[in-house]
Amino acid sequence: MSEELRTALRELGERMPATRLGSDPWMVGRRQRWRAAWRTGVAGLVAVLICALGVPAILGGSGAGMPPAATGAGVPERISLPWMWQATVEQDPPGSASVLFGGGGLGLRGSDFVDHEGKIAVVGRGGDYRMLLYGGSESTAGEDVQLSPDGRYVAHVPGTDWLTVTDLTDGSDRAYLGPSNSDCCATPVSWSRDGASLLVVEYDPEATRYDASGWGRDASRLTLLEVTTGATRILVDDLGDRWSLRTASLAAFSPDGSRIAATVGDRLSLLDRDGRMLWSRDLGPQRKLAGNGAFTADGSRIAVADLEGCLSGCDSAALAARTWTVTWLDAATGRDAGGPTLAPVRGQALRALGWRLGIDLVAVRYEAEPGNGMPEGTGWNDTGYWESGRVQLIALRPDGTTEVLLDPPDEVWSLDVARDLLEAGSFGAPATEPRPFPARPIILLVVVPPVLLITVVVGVPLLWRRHRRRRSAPPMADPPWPV
Amino acid sequence: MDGEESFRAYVAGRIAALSRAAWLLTGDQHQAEDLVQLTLVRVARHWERVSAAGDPEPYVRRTMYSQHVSLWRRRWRGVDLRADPPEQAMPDGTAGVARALVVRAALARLAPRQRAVLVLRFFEDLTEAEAAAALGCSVSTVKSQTRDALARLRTHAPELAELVGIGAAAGEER
Repeated sequence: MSEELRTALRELGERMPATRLGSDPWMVGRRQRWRAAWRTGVAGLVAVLICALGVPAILGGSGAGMPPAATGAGVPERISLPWMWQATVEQDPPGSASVLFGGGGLGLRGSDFVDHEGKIAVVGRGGDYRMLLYGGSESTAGEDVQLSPDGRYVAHVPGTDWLTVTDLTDGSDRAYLGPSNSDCCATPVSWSRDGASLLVVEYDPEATRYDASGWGRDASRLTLLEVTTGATRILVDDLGDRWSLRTASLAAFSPDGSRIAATVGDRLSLLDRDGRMLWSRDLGPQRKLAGNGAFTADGSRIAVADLEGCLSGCDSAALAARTWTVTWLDAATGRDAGGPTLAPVRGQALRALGWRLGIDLVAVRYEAEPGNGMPEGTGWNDTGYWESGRVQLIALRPDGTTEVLLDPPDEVWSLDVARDLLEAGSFGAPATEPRPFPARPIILLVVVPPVLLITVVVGVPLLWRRHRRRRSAPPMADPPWPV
Repeated sequence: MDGEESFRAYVAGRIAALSRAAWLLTGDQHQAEDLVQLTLVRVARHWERVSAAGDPEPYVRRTMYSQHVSLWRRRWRGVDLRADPPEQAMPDGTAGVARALVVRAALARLAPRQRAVLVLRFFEDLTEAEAAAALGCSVSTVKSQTRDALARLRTHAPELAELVGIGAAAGEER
């Protein structure tokens, strides 16, 4: 009979005393709930980080070896500041670049303690933003970090070699030794148009001489580096103190690479590739070689920037009020020559990059940093990192008008442009924003503190509440025994 | 009444019944205590959701029966789940009751699911549908498990034929 089975089971069941709970199931259950929530949270965070760092690094790594975009490749119409954790060229090569730029802000300058002081952004022709990082010192695009004319290579000094050339298509480096096999110290000045040669300023820090004010003077030399063979040749043995050089007007290759215009003090000289002087003339303190793109497209003339305004001991207002007018020298003789009348340019400095379609002079205009006057007793470089304010890429047309080709954010203080794009007139390409991924591991510095903060802000009160509850909770009452 | 208070009230009111069902399921007092403890801990983790549904009983019951099968599987693999053995030995309340002893021995010979079906149907007086919900299976499974359990009791404990005879079989039809 089912009823009898029921009765038998009830009789049997009633022999069981009520369970004496070994631990408070409420507390144990809540603890397990918290642990499960923590595990879920941590697992979620790990999953997010893996997705954030790993997956884009894998999927986003397609930039390596990417050829220049077939259409629309050019100097972008707009550039944006990179993310502080933007991936490096080595991490994910962007391919040939259109633009390099440097400056301030978290994306372009860090602390060596957690990041790198020197940060140069590389804008690939596919639109990717990648970084070149330099510990220990700030870097300046177009000066100590130079983009090759085809945009594929960057000449720079990462800190361990005399000079390094990085291939942006695969991130590989080639290190060069200087004359006498020295592995220190150099600064690139200009690529030849064919990308086969580099002009380099080198100096020997062990021969530093200190003047009465304690300012160190390093004698510098102008050296020609053959990029393919690594051979070097000293062209000018004494350029003067390295830290007093005006780098924007140091030297320029002629379009065919056979001649080099070089500045020593106030004199401008034309040299051949063996360093033989073809002519030399005094420009005076107010006239400067316009830049490493100073030779006209046909090589017949050299652009010189004439300064109207303050030359030494200038305050920031005087620097801002400077005006530069381009005049011409005959490349064959060094004498003044006629040429198109270009619009005067107001700014702290002007640096000629080259010629758009052989007609318009493309140059970088440097504005003065407000409140930043020339200090006494130390070096000053019109286009240096500490001296420059914002920059603009402009074109000076023969009809006397000026066109702004690129107007970067205020935090951009230096700029370099691939010569092939410049000469082809490839400006105004569609801009892309820097993508946050792939990222460098330093992104954890950005992600972890807020997570910890949230954990503390949310977790501590909850833990405290739980602690108080546990202290105030009555012990689990024993049920009647036996039932 | 907040969650903790309502949970404690529920436990105080239901622990005896839960313990009896657990004892019938496990056939062992210590294992029954383990099962009740594990069930209540599991329920405490989700108490807000469980109590919000109104009657926590179906969830508690389902948790205990699934824990029972799970525990049985783990014990069968030789895992001792009891970290702290009870300090005090409990008297065996079935001693001296012949029929209870026979029933207990017979239940021990059943598979855990069969035992669970019998306890749900004849101890807790649930319908087949309620038993199926507690076990997470279909009503037809409950029917077949009940039929098999009773048949096995008849085979292995002929002395219980009186209890599980035709009348019990009729009980399957509820």
